[in-house]
Amino acid sequence: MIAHGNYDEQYERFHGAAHSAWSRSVTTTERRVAFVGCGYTDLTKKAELSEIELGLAACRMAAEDAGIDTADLDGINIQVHHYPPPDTAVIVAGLGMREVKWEEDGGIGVTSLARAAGALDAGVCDYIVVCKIMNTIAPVGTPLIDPDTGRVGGPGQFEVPYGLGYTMQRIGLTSRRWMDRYGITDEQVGWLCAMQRDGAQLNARSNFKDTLTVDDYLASRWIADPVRLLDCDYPVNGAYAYVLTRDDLARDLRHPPIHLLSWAIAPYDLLDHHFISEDLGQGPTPWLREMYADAAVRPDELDVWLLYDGFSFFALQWMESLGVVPRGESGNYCEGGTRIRFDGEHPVNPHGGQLSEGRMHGAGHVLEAIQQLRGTAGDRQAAKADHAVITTAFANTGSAAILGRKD
Amino acid sequence: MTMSEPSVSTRAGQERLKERGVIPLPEPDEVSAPYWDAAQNEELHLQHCSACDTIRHPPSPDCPECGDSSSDWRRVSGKGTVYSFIVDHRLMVPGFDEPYVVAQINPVEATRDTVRIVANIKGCDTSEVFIGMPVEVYFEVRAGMTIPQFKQDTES
Repeated sequence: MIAHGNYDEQYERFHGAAHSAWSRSVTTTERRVAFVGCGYTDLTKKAELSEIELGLAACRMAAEDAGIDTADLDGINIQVHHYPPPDTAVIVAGLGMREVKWEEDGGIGVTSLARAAGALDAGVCDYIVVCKIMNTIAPVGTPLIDPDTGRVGGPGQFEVPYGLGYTMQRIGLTSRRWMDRYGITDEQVGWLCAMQRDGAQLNARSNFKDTLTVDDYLASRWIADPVRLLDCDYPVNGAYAYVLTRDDLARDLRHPPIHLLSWAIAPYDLLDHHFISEDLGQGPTPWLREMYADAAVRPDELDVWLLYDGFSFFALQWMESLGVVPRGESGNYCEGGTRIRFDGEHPVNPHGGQLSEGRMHGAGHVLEAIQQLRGTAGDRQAAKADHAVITTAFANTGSAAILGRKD
Repeated sequence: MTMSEPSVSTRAGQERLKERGVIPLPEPDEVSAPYWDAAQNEELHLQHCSACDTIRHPPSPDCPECGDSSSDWRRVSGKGTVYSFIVDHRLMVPGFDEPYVVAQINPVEATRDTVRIVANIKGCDTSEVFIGMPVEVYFEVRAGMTIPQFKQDTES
């Protein structure tokens, strides 16, 4: 019988054969690709504008910021998280795009950026706008219970009858295991939330601007212990957009280009969507290693960490997956807060993340990376911002990218 | 369902299910039927790969370890350990009225910790559940159907 907390024994029993099937995916471009413009709407609790209006506003602002006419955009990616999506053709018409040489909707965070970069590198088009639109009115993922019989088929038949049906519960299961495995405490997670809020107070887009202490965090109500209300990101309506182009076209635009140096996308869903692997050893998780090689950047050269925080736990888990802290050490790194605060040695989500701005599925992390690398993040500007890392979704099944400001 | 009922894909729809006292139950299918049939006889049976000799759960047409599609069913001891758990306080799933444990259980016969049976740990305070806790199966009749559940194994 396995003793409580005896993870070495469990490791031997279950993970004698390490994963070997890491597949290679494209992680960079031949010709360098850069962010040249960004735009955003307010993020509101209630839907005040239609999705089309939100998307148009963000895309127009991004083009304006880049210093190009929206008519010159010739590639577009629209991301929503529900069906039916808004009609991209209406957004194309609203922007007055003369030609659409590349259009591919969907993706989230880094995955959409990677597709856009690939299209630019291949010479398919010259100026791509990538736009995330969020609409909280859309249905959420709920258990598919037959309303007449109460029956649940499919994978849910083994879960819903036991009261398991929501993402926040699944995050609780993986987070409990990870916290127990490495001795990470509720207080350490609370430090991350508190320090992100310190930065959020200096971010006009943040929905939360009051001070948050670790005690406030600990007092917030349980959702699914170990998940508290303040561990969950905040649902909003709004849109964020970026314009990307190749370096050769970027030089004469309004802002210095912020380069998308490399990225990594988890090669496949690792065993199951909610599995936090315990057998990955030290250093970056294997599928992330090539990202560093392709960018010629080491983990210790990442100045600003924009870590996906749909749930607070993810941000800590990403530190370990990226190899910017030793595995199991993210809690200790956050404790006390001074290292991760916006004015610390490695600011984590100095804009406040999705816990403060709102749930933009990683788009807010991209926007903050661009602003930090440009040096335009105002009072929350990091002391050193040559390289930033952005991550999207789960730490073992998501995606990550390295951005840099230097030529 | 009348036209005025909100869709179950919305929070309002789920609230309505709660109000109506709907208790979710498994809908067995071709692959999963042996699991639920055995439960009706108060036995725990798990799918076993004939090719690589591993236990798997939940049931699937092909083995997640080796990809082979030949399988049989084995009666197992019903003993296991808690892999992870939550204590749910939000009560969004219909049929649950007070904080409850959802645990993932590794059966002792499994060779990988990805074999996890979801169950509620009952018979002890929610604060007494821990990762690595020895548990054993018992059977609960829920809305007329017998389903596996787990409780602390005091003999281990």
